[in-house]
Formats: sequence, C-alpha cells, structure tokens
Amino acid sequence: MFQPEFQAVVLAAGRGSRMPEITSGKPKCLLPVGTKPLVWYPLYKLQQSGFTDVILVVLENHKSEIQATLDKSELEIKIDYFPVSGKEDLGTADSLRLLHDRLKSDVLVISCDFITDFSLKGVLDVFRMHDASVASLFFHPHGGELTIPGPKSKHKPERDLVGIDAQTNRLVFLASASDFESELSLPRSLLKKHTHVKMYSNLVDSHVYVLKNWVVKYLNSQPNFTTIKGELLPHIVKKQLSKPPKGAEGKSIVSKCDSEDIFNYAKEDPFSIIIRESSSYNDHIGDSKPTYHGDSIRCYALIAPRDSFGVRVNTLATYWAVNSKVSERWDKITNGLSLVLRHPKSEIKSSQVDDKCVVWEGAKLHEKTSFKNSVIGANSEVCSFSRVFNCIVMNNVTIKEKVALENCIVSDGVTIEKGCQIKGCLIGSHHLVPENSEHSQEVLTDSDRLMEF
Amino acid sequence: MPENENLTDVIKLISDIRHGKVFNSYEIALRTEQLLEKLISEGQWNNARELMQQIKDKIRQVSQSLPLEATATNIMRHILKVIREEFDLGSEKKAEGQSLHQIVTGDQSDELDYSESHGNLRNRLLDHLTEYKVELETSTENIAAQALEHIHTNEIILTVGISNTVEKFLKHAAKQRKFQVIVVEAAPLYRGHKMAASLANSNIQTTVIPDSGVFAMMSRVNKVIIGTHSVMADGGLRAASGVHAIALAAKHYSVPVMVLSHMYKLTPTYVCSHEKDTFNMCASPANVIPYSTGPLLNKITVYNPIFDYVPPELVTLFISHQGGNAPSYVYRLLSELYHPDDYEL
Amino acid sequence: MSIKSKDDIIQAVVVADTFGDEFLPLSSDIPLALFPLINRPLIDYTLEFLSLGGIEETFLFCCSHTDAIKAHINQSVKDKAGWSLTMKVNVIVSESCHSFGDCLRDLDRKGILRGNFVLLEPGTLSNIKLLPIVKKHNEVANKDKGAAMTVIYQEAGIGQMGRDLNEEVVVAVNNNNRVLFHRKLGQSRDRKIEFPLEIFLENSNVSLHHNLKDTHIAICSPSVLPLFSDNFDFQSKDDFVKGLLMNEEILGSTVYCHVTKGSHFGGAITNWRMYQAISHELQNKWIYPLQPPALKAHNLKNGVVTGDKVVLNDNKKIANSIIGDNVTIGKNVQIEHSFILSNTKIADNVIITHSVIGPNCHIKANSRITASSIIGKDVVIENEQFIENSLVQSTQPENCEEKDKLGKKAFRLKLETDDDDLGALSRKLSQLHIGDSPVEESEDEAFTDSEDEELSYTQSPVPDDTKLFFTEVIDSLTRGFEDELRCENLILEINSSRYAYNVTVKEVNFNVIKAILIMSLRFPIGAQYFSQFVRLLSFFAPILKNYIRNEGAMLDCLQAIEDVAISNENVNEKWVMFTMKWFYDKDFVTEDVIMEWSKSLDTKSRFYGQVKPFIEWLEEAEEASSSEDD
Repeated sequence: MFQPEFQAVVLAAGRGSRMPEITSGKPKCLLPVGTKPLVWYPLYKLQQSGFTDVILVVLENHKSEIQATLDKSELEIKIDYFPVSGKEDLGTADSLRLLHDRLKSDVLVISCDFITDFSLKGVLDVFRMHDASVASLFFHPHGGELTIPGPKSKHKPERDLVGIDAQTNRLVFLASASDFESELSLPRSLLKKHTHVKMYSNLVDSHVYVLKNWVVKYLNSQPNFTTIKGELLPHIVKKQLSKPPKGAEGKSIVSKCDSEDIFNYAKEDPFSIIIRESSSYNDHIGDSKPTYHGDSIRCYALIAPRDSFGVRVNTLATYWAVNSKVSERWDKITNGLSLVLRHPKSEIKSSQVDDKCVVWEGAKLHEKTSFKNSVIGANSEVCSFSRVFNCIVMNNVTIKEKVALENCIVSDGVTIEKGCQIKGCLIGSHHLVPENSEHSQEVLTDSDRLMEF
Repeated sequence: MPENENLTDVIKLISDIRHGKVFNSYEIALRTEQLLEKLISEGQWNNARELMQQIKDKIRQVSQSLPLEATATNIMRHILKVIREEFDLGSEKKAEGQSLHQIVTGDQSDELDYSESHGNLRNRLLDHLTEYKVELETSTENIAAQALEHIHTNEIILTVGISNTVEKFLKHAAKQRKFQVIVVEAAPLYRGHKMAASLANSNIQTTVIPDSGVFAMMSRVNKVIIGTHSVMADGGLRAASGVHAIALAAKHYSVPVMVLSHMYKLTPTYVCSHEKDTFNMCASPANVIPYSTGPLLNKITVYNPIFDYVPPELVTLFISHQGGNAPSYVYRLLSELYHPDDYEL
Repeated sequence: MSIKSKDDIIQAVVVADTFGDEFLPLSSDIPLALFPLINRPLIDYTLEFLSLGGIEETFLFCCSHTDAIKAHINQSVKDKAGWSLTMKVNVIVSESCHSFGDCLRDLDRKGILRGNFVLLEPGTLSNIKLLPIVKKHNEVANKDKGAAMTVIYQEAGIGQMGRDLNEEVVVAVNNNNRVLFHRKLGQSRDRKIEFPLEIFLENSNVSLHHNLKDTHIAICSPSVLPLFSDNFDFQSKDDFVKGLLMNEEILGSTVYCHVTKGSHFGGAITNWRMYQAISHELQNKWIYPLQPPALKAHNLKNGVVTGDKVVLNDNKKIANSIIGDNVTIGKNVQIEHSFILSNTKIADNVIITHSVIGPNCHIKANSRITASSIIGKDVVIENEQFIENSLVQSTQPENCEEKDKLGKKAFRLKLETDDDDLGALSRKLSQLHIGDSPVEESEDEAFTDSEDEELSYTQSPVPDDTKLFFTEVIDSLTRGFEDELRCENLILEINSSRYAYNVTVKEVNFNVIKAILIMSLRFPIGAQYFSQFVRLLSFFAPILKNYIRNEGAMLDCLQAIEDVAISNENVNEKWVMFTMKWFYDKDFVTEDVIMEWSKSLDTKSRFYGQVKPFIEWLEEAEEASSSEDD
C-alpha cells in the first residue's frame, strides 16, 4: 500500500480553556478569524504544503458542527475526522496516543489554532535534512501591546526557555520558565556537547512538530504523558544527552524493562548509519566526536525569519490581535487566494461599511448602520441606527437599534437590546444584554457558565 | 637620535605596511616615491654620497623590518642608480662616457668620487623623479593598453586570485573584444571571488573554479594571465601560492603564461633556498582550518604558505609598461634598473 | 613622531609579573616577561603584538627583577626592535604590589592613563587587531555609561591544547554582547551549572558559550582603575568580572565581551601547560605575524627547534623539543616534549621527557628527568638521578627535608598548595601536557543510566561511578603492591581516577582504604597471615597518610573497616581487632574518633562483637591514663 512520507494531524479537540469567555458555547476551532473559521487556516496551510490527507482530531460532540462548517469551506484536502470522547480532559499527547495505530509514517502535528504566513516546508526540510527525531518551528514574537476587551488583567504570558545549539540548530533545551524558581541549572555535559547554546525566552512555539514515527510508538508506551509540548517533547529533548544503555546493542530485547527504554524505539536504520559513517560530513566542529555526536535521538528547531508571521490563537490577546492582522496579511498567509470580505450571500444595506470589515454569509446589516474594522459573523443581524467599531461579532448575533459597540467580542447567539452602549467588553454566548445598558471593560456572561469570573 | 630622525618617514612607511594600512604594491610604490622626493628636495645632504648613504640606510631598515617587501626597496635601489647616472652626466670627468673596453672588463678602477658636490644635482634629480612618478602612475594604464595585443575575441583567459593590474588589463580588453575569463578562486583566502565579481560587473563572462579544477580546465584555456608579488633575478616569480601548479598545468597543455609586472617588481635577488622562512612565509593556519576545530589541532600541523616560486621556464612573457619581455631578458632589465653595486646592501 | 594628538593614542598596560607560584622555581630567577619562548623573550612578542595592534604607548608594570626587564627594554630600543619604531614603552616599577589588582590600584594612584586602555595580563601573546575592538568598546561605552570592560575571548574547541584547563569558562552574553554570567569551571567538578533565571527572562536571547578561551586581553574604560581601588578584594581580572556581575546594581558597571574568530589568536602563558601549548601554537604560526626568530634548516626535523651554538652530537632521539642557545648535549640522549633553556649542559645517556630544564644547568650522565619536572636555574643533577614530577632548584629552600636534597645544587621544592586537594588538581591541570594521558578526556562521558533525574534540569543527579572508581583503585593498588611502585605515583593514579569518575573526597577515602583492606583478604590464612598483612599495610602507609588527614577521613576509614568486615563473612576472627589496633597504633585514627564511631554501631551485630574487645581495651587505657593524671 502506498505510504506517504508524512501524515498530517490537526489537533482540534482543545476546549480553548485559556479563553473561556468566548469558547464556552462553541468549538474553539470554529471561532471566526477574518473571513474563515480558525481551523481553516492550518488545513489550508497543509493543503498548500502538498498534503492531500489530514487527520482532524475533534471532540465527539463538536464533530458534526465542525464538519458542517468545513464542508462549506471549499478545501480540497481530504479530511479524516477522528472524534475523541470529551468526557475526560484530553491532552495533545493523549489525542496522539489514541491515534497511534493509524499513524504509519512520520507525523506532522499541527494545532488547529495556528495561523502563519511561513511555509511548512521549512520545518519539513529541517526534519529531512538531519533525519531528525523531532523538528519544531518557532517564531519571533510580534510586539505591540493591544488593549484587549474585558476587564484589565495583568497579562502574564507563559514563557518557554528554548535552547538551541547555535552551530547545528539542535534543540537542546526546552522547559517552561515557571518550572524554575531563581536558578536554572544545566548539566555540564550539555554545555560540553553544545558549546554555544542560544537560549531564547520569548519565542513563540508554533506547536508544529514533525515527529519520527517511533516517537508516536514510544508515546504509546508512556501512558503518563498528557501533552506533547509540556511533557513528551522536553523528555525527548533531554534524552538527547543520554547514551543508550550499554550492551543493549546486538542483544534482542529480552526483559520488559529494556523494551520500554527510549533507545529501543529510537533505533536508526543500520544502512543510514553506514552511509553517515562513510561520509566525511560532520554537523559540528569543536571536538572530535562523530556526526551528530553519534546520537540516535536528534531534535531540531527552526526559527522562522523575523519578518514572517506566526501566531497561536489560544488566548484572548492573540485572538484579538490576529483578527486585525489576518486581512492585512491575507495574501501572504494564503499565498494569493482571493479575499472575499463580504460574502455574496450577505445582505448589506448600510452604506458605511469600511473596507476593513468582514461580513459573513447570511449576515444582515440594515440601513443607517455604521461599521469600522469589524467582523460580522454568519446570520448575524445589525439593526438601524447602530454602530459597530473594532468588534468581532460572531454568528447568530442580534444587535438591535441604537446600539453602540466598540472594541468588543460578541459571542454566538448574543442579543443586544436597544440603546446599549458597550465598550471594550466580552459578551459570552447566548447572553442577553438588556435595553439601555452601559458597560465598559467587563465580561458580560451568564454567570453560571463561567465560574472563574 | 639624529640618525633615527632621518628614518622617521621610512619607519612610518614600514609601520603602515606592517599594520596593513597600505597593502597593494602600487600604493607602496607611490609612498616610497614621495618619501624619496621629500628627501631629495628637503633632506640634509650635501653631495651624492651622503644622499646615497641615506637611501641605503632606508633600504637596510626596510629589508630588515620587512624581509619580504620588495617594492619599496626596489624603487629606492632604482633611485640610487638614477643618482649615479645623474652624477655621471654632471661629472665632467666622465662626460665622454665609458669605453667599450671598460664595459666589457667592468673596470672599476676609476670609481667616481660621489662626494664631489654638484650644484644642480638636486634639481636634476627632482626632474627625474617627477618623470619617474609619472611612469609609476601610468604604469598600470600602459600595461592595460597592451591588452588588445594579447587578448583576442572568443579567447578563454585564466587568471588566479586578485590583482589590480590584471583586472585593469582584462577590463581594457573587454571594451573592444568579447572573451571569457576563468578565475581560480585561490584558497584559502578566496580572493578570486572578489576578482570574479568585479570582472562580472564589467560584463566579462566570468567563471570561478576551485584550485583543484585548474588542470581539468587548462586544456580549453588560450592564455594564462597573472600578476605576481615580485620577479626574481632569474626571471622566476614569487607569486601567490598555487600559481606554480597553474603554471605547470599550462606548461603541460602548452598554454602561454603571461605575467603582468610593473618595473618595480623586478628584484635583483635569487631564490637561495626553498625553506619556508627564507623565501616564503607561512600565514596563520586559521584560514585553512579554524582554531575552533578542537582537539584535532593538537595532532596535526597545518601550513599555510603565502608564496610560490615559479621557475622562469614556466613563464612565457613578462608584460611591463615598456612592452613584453622573455624571462631570459630579466637580467638585462635589472641592469638597466639597478646599479650592480646596489644589489647587495 | 606621530601626527595624531596625544589623546588619540591608545595606551596599553602590561603587567609583567605573575604573582602565583606557577613557574617556581624558574620564576625566582627569571621574570616571566623574560622567559624564553622559542628562544626569544616573551615580552618581545607581547610588545610586538601591541605595536601591530595599533598601540602607541605602553606601560610595562614590573614588580620584581625590574633591572633585568629595564635593561632588556633599553637594549631592544637600541636594537630597533620592530615594536620600538612605533610604540613608546614606559617601565613602571612598583615592588610593593602583590597581585594583579595591586598593580592596577597603583596605576590608579599614579594617574597616568588618560582614556580607554588595553589591559594585558601577564604572559599574553596575541595577534588581534586591537583598534577595531577599542572602537567598538567606545561605541558601547557611549550607549552604556556603565560599560567598564570588554573582555576578549577567542573561539576554541573543547580539548584543545590552547585551552587552559584551569580556566575553562562558561560565559552567558546577551544580544549586545553584554556579559550576564561568567563562571570559571577549572577546578570545580560540579555536574551542573546554575544560571540565575532572570538573565533569561530579562533578555530574550542569551548565548551560552562554552567554546571560548580567555585571551587575557581586555579593553578598559577609565572607570576600571577606580573600581579596583574601591574594591580591595579584586585581585585579578576574574575577580573584577565576577565582582562586577555580582554587584551590578551597586557598582553600576557592566562588562562586555568580544569573541574573536578566524586568524585572530590570543592567549597567555599562565602555567607550564600553557607555556607548552603556546610554544606549539607559535611554532605552528597560529600567532602569525608574531614569529620566533628565523629558524635554521635543520630545525624542521621532529619538531625540534634549536638556538645558536647548540651542540647536538647527532642525537636521533630528540623530538618535539625546544633547545636554547649554547646548549651542549651529550651522546645517546633522549629528549622529548621538553624545553631546554640556554647555556645548559646535558651529559651522555640522559633521558628527558615532558620537562623544563632551566638555564645554566648541568645534567650529568644517565639521569632521567620525566613527568613534568621543572628544573630551575643553575641546578646540577648528579649522575643517575631519577627525577619525576618534581620541582628542583639550586638553592636550599626553607624547611627542606633531608630526602628532598638531591645534590649539592639540587633541592626538591614543595609547594604549599600541593597538599590540599584543589591545589593538587590545579597543579595537575597546569603541568606540561603529557601526551597520552589526557586528564580532560576521561571526564563524565556517559549518562548511562536512564534515570530521568540524571538529566533533569532541576535536581542534582546522583552519579554512581564510585563502583568503577573502586575497581580501578583496586587494580592500581594491586599492581603497585606487586611491582613495588612508589606510593606517590599510586596516589597520583588514584587521584586521576578520582577525577575521571568524579567521586567525592569522602568516597575516595572510603574506597581507597576499603581496597587496601580487601587486598589483605587475599592472603592465605595461616601463621604468616598477619605478618603479610602488616607488610601490606606498611607498604601502603604513605597512601593512608595521604588520605586520612582529618577526623572525617578517620571516620571514613573506620567505616571502611566495618564494611569490609561485614561483607566478608569469612574474615579471620581477629582481623578486625588487628586492623583497628594497627590503625590506632600508627596514629591514623584517634581514640576520640573511634569512641565516637563506636556509639553508632549496632550493639547486637556480629561486627560489634569483634570490635568490642578493642573498644574496651581503649576505654581501660583511657581510664588508666586519666587515673595516672589524678
């Protein structure tokens, strides 16, 4: 049977727990971003990179909704839905583990919330070049603080410490800054092996990982890993420093203990070892160690150039920021797909809709309304004498007359009654905003849905 | 120290050369000429002997500090000869000139007394120097002007590394003819890359090849045109390392090797030994293999010689601003340039 | 001479003296600055480098042998040495200085430096072009007023000769090349390196370098001197860097670094190993255009360089060595990896390997000098002497023991630092590099255990190389006992295994004693047993003495006895008693420690039964003695 070089997996079973205000009633992957739902972007990216098939991991109860949405989105890539039960909280590694018997090739794992203008080919090539175990993609952060709707919170982003060998681009260290108190201690052997390590603390992990097939098999044998990024990857990165247990070579796997060792999974094709040994190529200078230091586990990192754009929409801040950027960068992100800002099946009677606005299918914008820099979701309706500036209005929202909305995110099914003045608010799904209310910098939601606030 | 006082200008030149502030031979030549001009016009000398002595001091100073620097000493040597000639001309005693007999026997018995003072020696020397300066300044152009005699349409020319003179020569030819240049990159400094870029910018069809590709390419080359660091008294070359191999390949395929050389590159010394420290110099191996390579360096010795000696039989023609000369004629040019007494100082 | 105004001139400060004992005994007769390096005084190279680097005024700071240095400088100026053409050298004498820091404090008082200056530690050689780096330092200093120093490092691979093992360094720098973290690893055996977390959080991109070696050259702002004056504890440049980084807020000063690559080389002769390494590198042109004096034709063979008027007597066994002027070498002499300084006579059949022979020495026939021995000036080594890993000088040092007297004009010199562990290690790392036993290689190579903690970044690993260490110790000792090798060599061997397996002092003590005791169990049990045992113990007494130095070690010793006794069921009933008594009699363990230790024993165990008689005996003896006192 034909076996592709890579199998792509899009993880869309997340609940969006970092932005519960707007994801409580709806799959995170269907949040509107520009003219498309969020998950469309990674799928399109894969399609552009030459993938013809993709496995989309979704929560069971969201499957139909997602499928219905994507069926309309004119993607050519063949989507293989893989529903997982939503009863337990599944981590990314758990999802992958459930999939393991369907993964026969090396795997490209990508998250449903990743939007970029950088080609995935780069990271695939890094993987191919070094016959890597893991290749990952990082981005430089894009500065610029934006005021996010909702109450002002001290926004403290999680920071990863990423150590990359400056000479070989090996990923040699990966941990979250919050794991340490005041000191970071590195094994001396790490510095002896990688004599020049660049330690980054502000890179954006794209959550695009290319994994050798054995990594998935190994993951299957390690039931306690729940996330790829938090546990599996740091573990493998660390294991690069280990040497296979002595005497393991040549012996058949006898004891059970041995068989769980990572080096029994990370075995290289003897043929490629011979090829490497007979070549004069070496990936590093500075000691007399063989190519790749003789490691069978090799993790690589690719940092996308500074001018490229890559973002994970997993917090309100990024969601808010990406919406303003996605139309500007549409050309680069989609590589020339034409941008339809106003869906032909929408009904726009307003004359004051600026060209930064996105109007989805079936939206109804009545006369004498005014729109600036906003997204109006499918089947939403905005009545006369209302204005919507800098807002994201999701699907099936009704905005009555004389409403002024500014800097807001309005979730699905919200109804805003007449005469409201709302600034900088988050409005949870199916919330009803009573007449003439005035709000600013608040979260408006049915309180029982959101215990945290 | 008064004697040191006289040497300050040459010390400045030496230090500039050592510190790499001037490095191409043309600049050194100009600086040397200026220095001499200043000495002759403003210097403390009363007669030819004193002047010659001062110049000889300078030559010694330079050759002691920079044993491999040829340009400055050659120019000063040449000026010594000029002083002798001017003195001869001015000296009434010698007005009738040397007889053939004297030339043949080299009879030195009636050595001139250079300590006689000469009223207008200074002015005549300055005139001569001005003339010499013009010669220096136009030397490159004059060499380049001969390009059309040597480069013909559709020829393939091979050159190596970088050389101002060769660059101008080729560009001059390219104004009227279409030909192709192969540039040998000259590891480990890879100066050939820069040369190729410059040629390509002047719309010359240029190919860069690695040093190892020379032999393979030589069969299709029509002429090898190179510059040199200096020309030895036997007509051999002290040229960038790698040139010997190129010259041998050219010999194998009977490709003519033309060497563009200014007159001041002609040096009245011979190669006495091939040991690295007398004729040659080894630069830091860092260009060959970086210091950061690691423990490997404990086990190996790396040599990075700068020069190659190319024996005269491998050179077809020298091209100077006066025209072409065979290597066997170099001795004759030398005797025109320098007085035999000044060969060894 | 120069057209430039005075203020544009970049000044350099060279400290000519080393204040440590690295080069004893030679440095008591010759200042480091005048050490011949391939037959040319070291200072000549240094000054040549400065002048080529674009420096026009240099202050040479001397604290000892000042006349010799002054004379040398004056002579060089007279001879128009290359540097004298463009650079002025002022010799500053201050005999009261006892450290590098003192010199700088003295300079501060003198106030002769005008602006930024280049600072060289003793024995520095380089070919770095300084002016661009000074310019860069100026630019940095314009942006960051606190910028005090730019330290220059050179890229060098691990395990290279030119990397001083005492000065292995880890440096963390940010995007602007500001040094955030600096730690010398030389003597530490930590498996972990702790970085303060905030350096990573405050800087988006931090480069961790372990591929550098210190060139011992620094560009200093004028604020460096007052900083030295204000902080009396700064003794060296490293103290300075460390102090500045630790008290960045208080001192308000920052350190930058510059990494040179390519043909730029820099290094300092800080010990004999570096002397050897830099000689090697100089010979191999790494410091081009700095060159040794013109070499002669026959020098190229076997890596031998000779000076003027050397009589070699057709010796074929001379290799990889540097031989000074006026050296006479007898017949059938073997010299390898060694340095023979000028005016020395070597008689027939002498073997010299990995050693330095000072000037005016006379090595008489059939002697052997090996294993990084340093022979000072004017020493006479008598016939058939065997000198290994020692420092020898011609005059009698204070409190010299009888056994250290090797001849009328040869005395073995002991350094204080030899005694403690760290000193011994640093000594080992500073010795001449002995080709095939690299100390650095055998280090923590493998993390064979697949224990996760081993590699975790947050916890310290618990390595278990002790077993390997133990077997190696047993091997060494068995061989030593059989071949009757000298105990000093065995100690050396044990110590190097110790570093190879990275075991703690405690474990070393324990395992060494255990190994000796275990060997005793191999003797056949019979009438001769205890006499053989005593012979064994007496043989190893120097080793025991070396390791059992304090009460902690005594405790380790007792534990070792306990361990051996318990784990070997069939030991002679009296073995424990005998062993304890021997150790007690020979003063290896004191009564107090034994009593202390005995309290921790399980009174029901069989072992306690074996020890009990001895303890009781001790107690009685004590009572007896105390009653005597009464």
